[in-house]
Amino acid sequence: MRALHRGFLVVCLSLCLSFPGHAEEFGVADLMHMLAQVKESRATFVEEKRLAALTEPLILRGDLEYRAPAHLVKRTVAPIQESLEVDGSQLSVTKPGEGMNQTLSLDTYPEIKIMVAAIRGTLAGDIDTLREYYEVGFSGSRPAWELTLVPRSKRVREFLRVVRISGAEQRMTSMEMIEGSGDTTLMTIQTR
Amino acid sequence: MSRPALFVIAVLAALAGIGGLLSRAVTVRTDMTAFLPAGGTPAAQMLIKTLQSPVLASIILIAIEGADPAELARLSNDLASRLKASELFSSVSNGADVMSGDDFEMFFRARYLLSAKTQRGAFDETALRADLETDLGLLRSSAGPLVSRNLAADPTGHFLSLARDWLSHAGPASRNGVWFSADGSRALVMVRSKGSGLDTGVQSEVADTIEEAWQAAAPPANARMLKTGTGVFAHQAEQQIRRETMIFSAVASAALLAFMVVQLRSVPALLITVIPVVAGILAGTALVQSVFGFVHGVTFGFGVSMIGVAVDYPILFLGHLSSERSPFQSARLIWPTLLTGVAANVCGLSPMIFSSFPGLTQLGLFAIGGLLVAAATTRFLLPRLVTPGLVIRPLIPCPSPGRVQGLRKLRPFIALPFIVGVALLAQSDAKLTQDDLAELSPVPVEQRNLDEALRRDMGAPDVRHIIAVRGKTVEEALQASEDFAPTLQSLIGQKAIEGYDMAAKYLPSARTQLARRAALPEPAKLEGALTRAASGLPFRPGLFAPFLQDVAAARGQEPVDAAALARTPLSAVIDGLLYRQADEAIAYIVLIGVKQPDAIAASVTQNRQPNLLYIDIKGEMNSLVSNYLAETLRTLGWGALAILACLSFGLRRPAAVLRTLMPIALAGVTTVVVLPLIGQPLSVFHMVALMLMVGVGLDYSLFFNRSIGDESEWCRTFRAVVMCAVTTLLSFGLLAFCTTPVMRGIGSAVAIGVACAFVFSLVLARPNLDPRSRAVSP
Repeated sequence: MRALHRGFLVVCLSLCLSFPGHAEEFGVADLMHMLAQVKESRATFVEEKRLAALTEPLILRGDLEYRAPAHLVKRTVAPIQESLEVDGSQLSVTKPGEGMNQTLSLDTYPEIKIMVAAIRGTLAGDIDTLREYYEVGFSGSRPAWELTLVPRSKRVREFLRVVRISGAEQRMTSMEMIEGSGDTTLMTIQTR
Repeated sequence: MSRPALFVIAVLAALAGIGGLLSRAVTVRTDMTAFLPAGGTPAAQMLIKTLQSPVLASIILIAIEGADPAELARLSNDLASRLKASELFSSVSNGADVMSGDDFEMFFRARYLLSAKTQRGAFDETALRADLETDLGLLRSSAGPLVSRNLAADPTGHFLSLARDWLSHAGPASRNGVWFSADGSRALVMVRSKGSGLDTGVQSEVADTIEEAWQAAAPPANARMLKTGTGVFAHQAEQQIRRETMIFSAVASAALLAFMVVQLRSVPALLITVIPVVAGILAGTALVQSVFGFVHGVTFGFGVSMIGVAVDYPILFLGHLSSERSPFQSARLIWPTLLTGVAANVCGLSPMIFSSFPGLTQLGLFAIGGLLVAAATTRFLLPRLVTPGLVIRPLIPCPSPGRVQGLRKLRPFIALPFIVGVALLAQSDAKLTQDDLAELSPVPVEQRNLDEALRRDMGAPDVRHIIAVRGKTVEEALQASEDFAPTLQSLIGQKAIEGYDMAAKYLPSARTQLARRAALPEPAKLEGALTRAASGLPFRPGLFAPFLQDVAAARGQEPVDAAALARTPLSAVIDGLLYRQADEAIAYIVLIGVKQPDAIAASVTQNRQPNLLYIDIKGEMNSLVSNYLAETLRTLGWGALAILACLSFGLRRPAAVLRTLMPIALAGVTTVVVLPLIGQPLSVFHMVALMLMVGVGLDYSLFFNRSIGDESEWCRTFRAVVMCAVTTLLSFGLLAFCTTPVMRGIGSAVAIGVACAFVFSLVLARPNLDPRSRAVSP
């Protein structure tokens, strides 16, 4: 009788353990799925650029706007004023202070296209685009995840070594880019 | 076999032999520059020289369409690499790999000599500080990566400013790494052939190579490749002229042959007809080849149509053979009339020889030589070849002299077509004269439109207004154009032009480069200024060591010359703007967005430099054409007077001259009025063809008005003239269906004119049948 009870307990426990949701197997597919649910988001950012050529880091502040699937705006407010807007394959650069406004096609500038793909692909939960340009590595769990993107193309790796994107739940909290020259950019994002 | 028959065979064999020899000695050319007028104002001469520049003409633009962009890009790259491998092209560009690493190195190293940023004061503490602050601003912005790459060696941004200057005019859009048209439907490739664009042999080989490379690239079913460029045009024009000449010759010969067979129904007569014609063509060809050294393709086409005129002479001879007299007597009988006709024809064609279009001079020479030989052959050789007793009986009804007199009632009506035509013209808005040289080109409209569209896609400015700067050497020409730059800037300020492009922008003169070199500071001074300028700014100490090294090296650099740039992508631009010859160099300044041409002309005149020439290309070409139209009309006047003199001498009585000349003059003006109404504005070629028509028509008028013995003689004359008219109409009428404007123009004018001349002559004819009044008859 006791053996039967113990066996029954073991079966119950193992059955419970094998239910999905309990086991917290959170993978990159789940992350992408979760991120894809977010159709719109706004955030402020602080960007820290460490350049080998400079003795101190450059600090920039501004805000970000995202609208699924392909619309992204990065507005730098201090110490310079600049607005970068990406919509589909068009990139617009506006410098209100200088009265400059330029539009270019991302197809003409593959380097910029790849960098944009990293951030936009993540926000849109588009694993296919990410995998097209990068080797995607995932670690962490739902409340604290990190994506490590290494460019597939050797030529691209010469100027962009790795992109690390961290987040919590469905919010992106930081993005770090390490360039081939050793310069790094760390963007800390505060979603409103 | 009878003696005459043997003679005929012998003569034909001799002609065939001469023909064979001649075909080996003759060179045929088909480029349309032969129809570009020579001489003119200095601007026009410069223009023609430029248009004939083999380098400019060697550019070919290729467009690929009919597939999705990724596939188009693949085809573009595949085609480009195959063409590069073929060794037939001095440059192949499709937007990928614009600059090789070596090229980049060279330009980077030469940046201080090439960039306009190098001036006195550019390396002072203030200027350096401004540059460094700009750098910081750029590093903060999205353009950071651009700057940080070369920051250590080029903090003043000389290389970037160089790139900005060069790219200041729009180039083609780029997708998938290659050049595309603005709407993304076509991938673009630009190549430059090693051989001249005006050499049709070279262009033929080039065309084949491109086609093979295209097929080897395995294009999908719907994909198409289009080509355009001067070389392409020349090749297509040549193909077209050749094709049309062959088709036309075949059809015209067949039609004429059929007609003659039906009318003559005698093999000996047919062979005899052929002899003066062939002799005339051979003589014309030989004459042109010996005077010019080549025969143009259009001359051949025209020459074949002259068969229709030359065949008049044997027809007139054969038609007047009678059983009542020997062939020699028949020949002698018609000779005075024939001779007057030949003389009138030659007078009518002589304006062509004095034309300023070399092509027309050839046509005139060919025609005159051919006709003279045909006439002489008819008079002196043919009678020996005719079997005595040979008579031809054409199947043509003959109106009795009484009926013909009756036709004179219709006299007033022959002016009707002219009057009606003038009325219609006054009412319609049909274009009267053709001033646009482009319309006279054998290149079809679709091809010209494609050329325009592709040039727009490539971002090549529409080159219409240029200033040619001449110099004994390239250096002189570059210096002179640089000296003119301030004037150009003021023209921009006045809004007379929007911008300009010149060779010196990409390749500064050695003088300028050396001046820039002298402006570079000593290393110690520069280091001091730089340290002071960078104080307080967060640049790593020692960061700019490469910059200091590069400036020091530049102080000892030799100026960059054209040879150094020859293998770089920049050579494509420079070649279009710099024309080099043994003892002369011409640098072109291309003016963009011209709003006030007069202001430009004024500033060039004020500049008082003898080596500067302002050319409005389209305007110059069109005024050339109208000048030549005017000149041709003047020479036509002289030709008409010459004909009048011939006729007066030959006919003696003023009344006879008037009667002979009137129907032809009327036919001429009627033709002039009808041509614009049927959609052919009058061009130089029409004018010239008119004189040809006058000569031919006069033959009919002369024969209709000659003193004739009896009715059967009248019928011989009438039938012979009808046969002449039909053969001329057949050959020139068929020419009117060609698409080459030169041939079509000449064919239409002559066909209409000859038809009118025949009818009008007949109506006004007063055949003199009185056997007693032979005394003063022609």
